[in-house]
Amino acid sequence: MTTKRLVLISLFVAQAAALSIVERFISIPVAIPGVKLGLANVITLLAILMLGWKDALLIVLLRCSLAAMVGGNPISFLFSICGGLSSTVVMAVLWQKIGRRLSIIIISLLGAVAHNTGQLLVAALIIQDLRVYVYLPVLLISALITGYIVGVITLRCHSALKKNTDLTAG
Amino acid sequence: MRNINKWIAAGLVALTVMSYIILHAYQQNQIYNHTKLVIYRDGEIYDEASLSKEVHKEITVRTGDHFNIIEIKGEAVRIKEADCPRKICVDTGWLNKPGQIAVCIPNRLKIVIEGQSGNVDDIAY
Repeated sequence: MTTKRLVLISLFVAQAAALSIVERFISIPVAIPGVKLGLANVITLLAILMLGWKDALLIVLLRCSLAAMVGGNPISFLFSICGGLSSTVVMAVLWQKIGRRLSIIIISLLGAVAHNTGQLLVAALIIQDLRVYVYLPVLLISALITGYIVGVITLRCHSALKKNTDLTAG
Repeated sequence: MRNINKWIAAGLVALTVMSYIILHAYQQNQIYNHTKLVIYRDGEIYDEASLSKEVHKEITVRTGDHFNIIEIKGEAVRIKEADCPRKICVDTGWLNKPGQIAVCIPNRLKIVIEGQSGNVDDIAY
């Protein structure tokens, strides 16, 4: 592990935590329960692209814990960690297996879908009622929109960062 | 192989549309003469109320130190107020179709609209 890599990981953790905390104050003007933009996923995806899945998982775990410590609660922690882990696993597997053929936006879209379905599964388990899946259509639409936005942002950040960050040096 | 991206995008959109159609068909299929509200607390039935045009009332459910206020207005129901952190249950808004559900996970509360078929009444009649 080079110093540069270590610095990059810690920067990513800090940025992701800040994004998920700030995001709580952005309310989306649509009457959908529990929809968020998921800007922290930009960092998750960037980490998968630049550092690999192990560090990406570490960053997600640290981000969720940090965000929970700043004004979170056990339930929101459970939801963010389950959603975060399911989207990270899906995006990481896609990137490892067929990454070269997929566009970053598509990976982000699938990650957002995994995030929302994963959270619904947690809700269904906690409440012990599969009927919460009546919200699946709405959450799928929101996943497509937020996944697209996150994908575009990640694409831009990635191409800008690639020019200036050489992980093999330093 | 640029095509794979288009296929996946099309597949996701199709999946979303499909889920809407399935949900709609499911709700259309459930034709009942009456609907009732069922309130669950800690996974067990706490209260029931049948829904009809004249009803207008509020039910306060207490779970430990916490509360949710459920408003019934005609055939629609919502969680009007709650003391949970993110107010997802309140944001869910009005429910008016059988199968619709609102949950408050921190307070372990769930409200569902369930259908009541009128068969019993028909036979009695």
